[in-house]
Amino acid sequence: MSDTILRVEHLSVDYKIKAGWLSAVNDVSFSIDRGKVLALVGESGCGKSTVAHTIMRLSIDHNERIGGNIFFEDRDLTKISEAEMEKVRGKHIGMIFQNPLDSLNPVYRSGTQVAEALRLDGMSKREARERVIQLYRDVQIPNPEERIEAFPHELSGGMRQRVMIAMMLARHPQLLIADEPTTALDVTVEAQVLNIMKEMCDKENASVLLITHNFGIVAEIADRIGIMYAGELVEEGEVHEIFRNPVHPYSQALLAALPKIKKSEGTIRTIEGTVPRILEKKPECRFANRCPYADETCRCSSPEAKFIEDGHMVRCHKR
Amino acid sequence: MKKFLYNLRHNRNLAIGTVMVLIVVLVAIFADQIAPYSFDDSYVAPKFTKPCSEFPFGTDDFGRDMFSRIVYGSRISLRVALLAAVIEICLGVSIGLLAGYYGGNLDRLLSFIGDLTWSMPPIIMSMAVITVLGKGLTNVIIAIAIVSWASYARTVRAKTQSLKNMAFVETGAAFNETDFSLMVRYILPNIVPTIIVLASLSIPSTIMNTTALSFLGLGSMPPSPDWGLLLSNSMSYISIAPWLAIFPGVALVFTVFAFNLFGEGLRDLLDPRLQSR
Amino acid sequence: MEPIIKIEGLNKQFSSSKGLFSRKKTYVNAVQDFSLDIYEGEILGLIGESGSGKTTLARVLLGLTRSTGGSLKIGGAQMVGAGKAEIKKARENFAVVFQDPASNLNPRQTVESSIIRPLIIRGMSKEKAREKAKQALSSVQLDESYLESYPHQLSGGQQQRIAIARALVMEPKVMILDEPTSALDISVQAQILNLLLKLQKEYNLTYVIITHDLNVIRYVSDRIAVMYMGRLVEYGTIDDVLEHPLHPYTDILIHSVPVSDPDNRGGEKRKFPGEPGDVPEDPAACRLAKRCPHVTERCLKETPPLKEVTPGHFAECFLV
Repeated sequence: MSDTILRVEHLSVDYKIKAGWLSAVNDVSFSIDRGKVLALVGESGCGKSTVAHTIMRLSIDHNERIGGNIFFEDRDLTKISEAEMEKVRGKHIGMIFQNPLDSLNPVYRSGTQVAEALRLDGMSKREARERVIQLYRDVQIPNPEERIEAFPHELSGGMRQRVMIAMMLARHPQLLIADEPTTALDVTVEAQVLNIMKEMCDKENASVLLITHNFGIVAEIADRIGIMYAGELVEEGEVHEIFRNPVHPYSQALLAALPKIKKSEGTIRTIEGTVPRILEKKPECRFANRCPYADETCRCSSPEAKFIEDGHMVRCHKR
Repeated sequence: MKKFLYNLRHNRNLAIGTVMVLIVVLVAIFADQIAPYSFDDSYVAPKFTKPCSEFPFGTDDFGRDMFSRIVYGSRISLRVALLAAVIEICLGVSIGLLAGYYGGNLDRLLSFIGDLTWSMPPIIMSMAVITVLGKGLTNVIIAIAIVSWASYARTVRAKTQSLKNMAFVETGAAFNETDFSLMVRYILPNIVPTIIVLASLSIPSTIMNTTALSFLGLGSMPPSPDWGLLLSNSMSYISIAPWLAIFPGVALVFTVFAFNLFGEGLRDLLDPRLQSR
Repeated sequence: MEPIIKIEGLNKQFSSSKGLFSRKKTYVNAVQDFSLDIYEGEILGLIGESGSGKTTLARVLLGLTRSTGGSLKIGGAQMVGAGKAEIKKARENFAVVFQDPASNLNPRQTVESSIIRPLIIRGMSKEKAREKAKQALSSVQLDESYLESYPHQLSGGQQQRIAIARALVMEPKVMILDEPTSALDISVQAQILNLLLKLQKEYNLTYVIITHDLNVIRYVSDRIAVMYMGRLVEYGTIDDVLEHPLHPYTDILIHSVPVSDPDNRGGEKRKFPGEPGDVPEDPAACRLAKRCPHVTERCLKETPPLKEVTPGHFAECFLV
């Protein structure tokens, strides 16, 4: 098992809201191997970002209830103290968000902020500067000697995201959590940033947990893919396998809804209805009300996660 | 309304503020019933009677019942505050809308005038206006409005600028809504909550300013029971009859504090930034 | 066939003065020397990244901002330099749906008053407008119960349907759709795209779809126009442009869009330098010169002309 960097077991997260407990994540289990990329995909409100934030223990208000275990290199992150978690963050697990402007401090020069991260590991000022320039070069920022002096607002979105990648990778984390890292970027820039992220992680042999709604990106860089629906992981497996042979009705419908054809070649499929907000956990399949194959069983009992073949998990009664 | 009632229970500022404002408003409305005497009934008791059970706030130099005078005075304060607020809002909102919507030179001109009024101390500025218009309560109200419309204009202008680029406004323009209609039907309704909050927050300073002007002898004339006038009158007798200064002062503080709390509470209720959850 | 919209050499320049007291002005060419014909009944996809000027072009078409030069004919009437009345009349040909579903509708108006408002302006009676609103709702597959709702009570997909319904009641010839689905989830996007295609057939509408999403364009459009930094760099039919791209930028774009197929990864093909903002200092140079893999001396000195390479397939590059 030493090859597994992160193992999430039966993770569930509920938020306290006015009307009761909102089930944001329910019974999610997956693991990431060293050097691999796992993509969690799903539509808005499916809980994919909540999973990422819960792993990093980044919640703004403490009104949630967390169940299950998160093992990072055999340490259970749900059991350690806040001080220990502080050390894990950044040093062992890095995180990249959708909007880098929110994650960079606007009043410090971008290079200083990256150097700051290095100085935490006891590097001298001059060493850190040299290393930052090297890092900027690695993430293909042109004129790194000049750009380290730039303030975040003077950099374009793509450049900022590169700075974030440089900052995260400066401390050689074993795991990188990327939450919609390229959603705010233009397509040509998105391609560059994704390539850089992938290359850097390959070089460092770091694993990536990629949160996205874009199947194109998943197909491009992921090794494994987990599809989430209404807080549950409904299917998880090797990326080629899932794209070629999706088993869960939701995965099938979602992949068929991607516009990848011309209208002269046919019509893309749609999924009627909307994603439910789960306020009360009931024994039922959460997709049942939109599923074309649903029957009585689906409406009165929750399907268990089962492996249909090696490393291909699906949560459906019908399979 | 439901939200308002829910917030009353969960937002202490709003709850206390609402109760205090209600007290002031009710006192003003039912002044005739509450006050045992009229505000100008003189010598209902010997002058400078100390506060006692019959005259809880004592009597003044003409033997008038201070309690009745303060109760009637609340009417003046509220009327002045509301009238000034209405004039300020009309001026400020229309100027803010025009400046924000049209931009360009009109915006530059209006903002310049606004900044000018901002840059002078309100009391001095309103004294200057009164010098031109003459003394009297009505002129005080107008002076206060001229001095303080700019704070509305500034906020409304900023909001208008961001709203006019929203898709629904552009869409309206694209199906030939007139400029007036875009301002009044599309932009204005989305600013109303902000205006309400601003108004309730600016009423305290309006009350303070009118009181100050009356205190200086520029506003109400005797025998009006204006709180500012009561206070200025009390100055001459502060050593022999301190209650003449204390009770109008307390009434003033109570009212100002009430509207402050109410305004802050309303802001929590209506400001979407604080309301995301 | 006469084009319904004829754009020739259109320019839109924005000026901004630096600072309060400075008289020096800087100019930005949001749309530059843009020529394109749009025909009745076609779906034209306008694709470009940020700063390409695609949204500015839409605003010029709608008369929301004035062009600074060139010619724009809508239904034969010249719009450049036209008076207010003429612009108002031209606008009756159009309806528009913007990107963000939440801001597309006035948060303080009910769905009904949002939908009937354009009809009221045109002088229709309230009863008749209401009838129309009901019909429009049923064409976007929503029932009448939504008429009384406020926008915040609806989901993103429903809000976008309402916006489309409002566009429909105006009986436009041309619908301008500015990123109509980019704020929506995949399954909802599919619903809206299919709905738009169905309506286009039913009412023989002309669509101008503006987006940065090549997959959406490929699915819905007949023709595609590629914009880069204010210039139209290539246009033609979907097959022509996407199968045989002529302009290097179109090529970059096509390869940058990740394909939803893990067996067919872009990898090395996806490596392109620079960002949309990287343009040569010299305004005469080709806008792509700094990023183009095939750049020559000539590209740094002059802008290539738009050339018809095969019938109906135009590109703006010296290489073709």
